[in-house]
Amino acid sequence: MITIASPIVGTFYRSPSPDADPYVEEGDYVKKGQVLCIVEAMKLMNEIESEVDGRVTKILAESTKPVEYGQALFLVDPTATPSS
Amino acid sequence: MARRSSSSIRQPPLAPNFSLDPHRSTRVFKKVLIANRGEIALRVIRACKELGIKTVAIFSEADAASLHVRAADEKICVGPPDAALSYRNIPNVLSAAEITGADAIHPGYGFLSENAHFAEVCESIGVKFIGPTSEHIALLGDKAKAREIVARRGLPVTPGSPGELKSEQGALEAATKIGYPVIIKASAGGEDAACAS
Repeated sequence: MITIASPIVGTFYRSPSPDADPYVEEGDYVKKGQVLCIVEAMKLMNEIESEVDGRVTKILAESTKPVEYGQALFLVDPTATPSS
Repeated sequence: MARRSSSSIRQPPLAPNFSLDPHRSTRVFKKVLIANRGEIALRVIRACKELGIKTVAIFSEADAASLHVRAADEKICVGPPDAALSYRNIPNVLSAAEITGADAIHPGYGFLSENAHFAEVCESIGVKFIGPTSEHIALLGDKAKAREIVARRGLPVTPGSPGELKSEQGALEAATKIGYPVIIKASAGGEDAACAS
């Protein structure tokens, strides 16, 4: 299981805007480089990408809440395949 | 018989609205982020507690178990063990102040305390930098320039070289002129000093 951690201090957002759908849901299959969330710091929206191909098994942070450096945001299972 | 004289001890004047009694003091800040670690941070945290001000500690991944982290009301990890990427990481430190709602940042000493850019950004986003203005840091951070500025305003300075020394020969000449012992200082930073007598 791969942990995607926040590379910066900021505010965690699961969607690109308040009305939009979340980037990912638990159970979704994601590709390496796919945007998983936004961490906003000093009005800058930083898109956080997946480091691997795999299935998002757990979302560990709550949208609009502050996150610190190194805080675990997602668990991704790299052994999962798109069809499984 | 020795007479006790109180006039020999000169107390520095307190700021007009400052009182040592926490219930009477004008509480300027509600929450202060301390952008430092170890005993420096602890000293500031203790002072804040005495004044009834909430504190936020920042720390690198290497210092998660440090005393200053436990002593503060809130804590935010701002980066990896390398201080350049954590305690000196301006975006992360400012973001930590923003997400915790700190209204002031105390830099302690070292790290960002003499960083004019950092003080300026704090000022621009409405977080009080507890220290000199960015303008004064920029003017006085460089020791050679600082000497020049205060001397130009007619203030006394210790004997020294006229400006930055460019060569060993220049240093020897200046030392002979001033007379030993002499101290050689880097114009910026504070960790290297040599004294010869």
